[in-house]
Amino acid sequence: MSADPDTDELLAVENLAVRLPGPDGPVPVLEDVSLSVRRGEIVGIAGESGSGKSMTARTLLDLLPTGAEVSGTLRFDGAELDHRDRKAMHAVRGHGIAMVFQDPTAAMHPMLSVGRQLTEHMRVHLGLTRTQAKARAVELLEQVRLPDPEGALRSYPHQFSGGQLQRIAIASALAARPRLLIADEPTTALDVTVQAGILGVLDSLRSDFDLSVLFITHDLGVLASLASHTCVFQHGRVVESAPTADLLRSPEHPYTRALLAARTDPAEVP
Amino acid sequence: MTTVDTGARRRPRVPPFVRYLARRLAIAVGLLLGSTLVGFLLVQAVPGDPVAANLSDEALGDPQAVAAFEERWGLDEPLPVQYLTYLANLVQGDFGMSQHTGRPVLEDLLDHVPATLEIAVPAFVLSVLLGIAIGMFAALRHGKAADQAVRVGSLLGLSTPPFWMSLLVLYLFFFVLGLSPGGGRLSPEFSPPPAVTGLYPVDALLAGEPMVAWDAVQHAALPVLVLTLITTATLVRFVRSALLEVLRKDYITAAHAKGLPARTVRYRHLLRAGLVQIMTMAGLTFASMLAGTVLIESVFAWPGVGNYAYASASALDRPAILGVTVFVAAAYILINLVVDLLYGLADPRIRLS
Repeated sequence: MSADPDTDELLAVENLAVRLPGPDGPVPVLEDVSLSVRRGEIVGIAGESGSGKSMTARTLLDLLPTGAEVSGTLRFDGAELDHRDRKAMHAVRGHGIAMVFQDPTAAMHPMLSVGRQLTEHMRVHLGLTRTQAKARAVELLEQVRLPDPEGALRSYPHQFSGGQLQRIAIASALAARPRLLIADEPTTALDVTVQAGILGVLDSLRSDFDLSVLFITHDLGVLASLASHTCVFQHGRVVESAPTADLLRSPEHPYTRALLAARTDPAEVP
Repeated sequence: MTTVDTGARRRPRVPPFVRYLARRLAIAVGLLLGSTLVGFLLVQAVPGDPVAANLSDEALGDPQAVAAFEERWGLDEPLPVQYLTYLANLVQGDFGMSQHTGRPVLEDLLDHVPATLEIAVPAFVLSVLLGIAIGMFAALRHGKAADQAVRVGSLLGLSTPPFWMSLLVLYLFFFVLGLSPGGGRLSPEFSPPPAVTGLYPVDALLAGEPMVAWDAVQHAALPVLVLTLITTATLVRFVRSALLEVLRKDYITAAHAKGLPARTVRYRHLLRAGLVQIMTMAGLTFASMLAGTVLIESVFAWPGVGNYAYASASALDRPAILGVTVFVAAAYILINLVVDLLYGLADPRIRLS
């Protein structure tokens, strides 16, 4: 079992299985998934598309399609989290666990101002006044190193580039002070040059706020300098789980080796 | 794009939204002009001789009477001259004289348009509210029994011919239940209130005659009901599919992931995004209501635009047909202009770029 009953533990997932309704009965998408994240730790989840990476994230936030069957145990922040108890699951959203999506241009509402999207959940979870929420939003945008935070609050998503939007999305995810951030391929839709900046922001947030991050990617190399621990997913199962350095140096599972071989190092691209 | 803004926060002299509206307005004027030309040519192309349609057999035998009729209506002039004359008069608010009522077309329109508005406006408001409520209800229960029920119901509403539904409703509420006073705008014992807005319930209240107002409302109730049912059926389907499309977007998932209350996601995020599409459809629906729903109006003996258009067409009354055409075209164009304006207000991507 990968989850140590460590006092440092923030999230533990044990024997998680998910089945989605299909035309010929339930289709298993996750089987016997176990992983754990400690406070202030970045854990990587790697695997190709369809391997169950995003399903894991969606299960944690109860964002699965209707009719999904979930089993297994979840423990978050020292308490058991019952996945059948929707109220309890939803109470964790935003405040306990937050998420950053792959395509920031699709994950921001095109008709609502950045200020509104940054503050609406702050006011719900933290009970801040409009002025307090605005001040915090400016602070957050400074932390993700977005130029002119005041002006950004009055702007709309279409006025920003993908990289800027992803910074805004990260700020928005952090707005209600979550303890775990799920980053679902947050750099895949961005230029290689912009990627490094986003990764830097995530790492500094981790060290500054003791934030834990579950970093989902299809690119094992991205995890090298970022994640202390990595789980490799294939066909809805965790096929290998080890400290990232060990995993990269001596991958045990053939699928991990294949993933590593398939990788193109951005530094090698002329 | 004429200028490239290089970070130097310089605002263009004309705000983008004003430019957007100015362009829409110019297009609207062009469309209106074009629609008068098309309308004019179509009326010419209608087979049938207006002289024969409007003069008695006796007068038709008299070449002088025929010549006098042709001269009076300008039928002896070449076509381009006829069109330009029509246009020049139109700009001054002169739609010509109706041949079958013998009154200025403008006056006829001013009588019939309020009658249509009297049923179209309440039916529009009701069906937009119902369409959004029911469409959203179904979209949020996609694939479940409630959704299926809504789909079947709206399909029934769509596939029932309007005149048939009118007859059913009239039969039920007038003959069987006796709840409705029947066709027309007012019961025979009342005379129309002095015209201010042309809407009987409003004018009757203004004249301090609540009984007349109540009678007018009762008369309008059934046509409003039929129009609402049919329009709601259309809008429900549209709202449902528009919202289903939005529900698949990442930003809705993201809003849930932020831990916002379901209500907030539903009204602020989901409905807001679907509204632009819904507005387009609602605008078209309203315009088609103003064009008059001939079949409903004739069952309820409702003296609206549809009935006037029908009577004018039967009489081959060219000025009246053209008058209705121009009115309907103007209504469509104006409503589209309003929708464009609302677009800009709803969507910052239009407003700001």
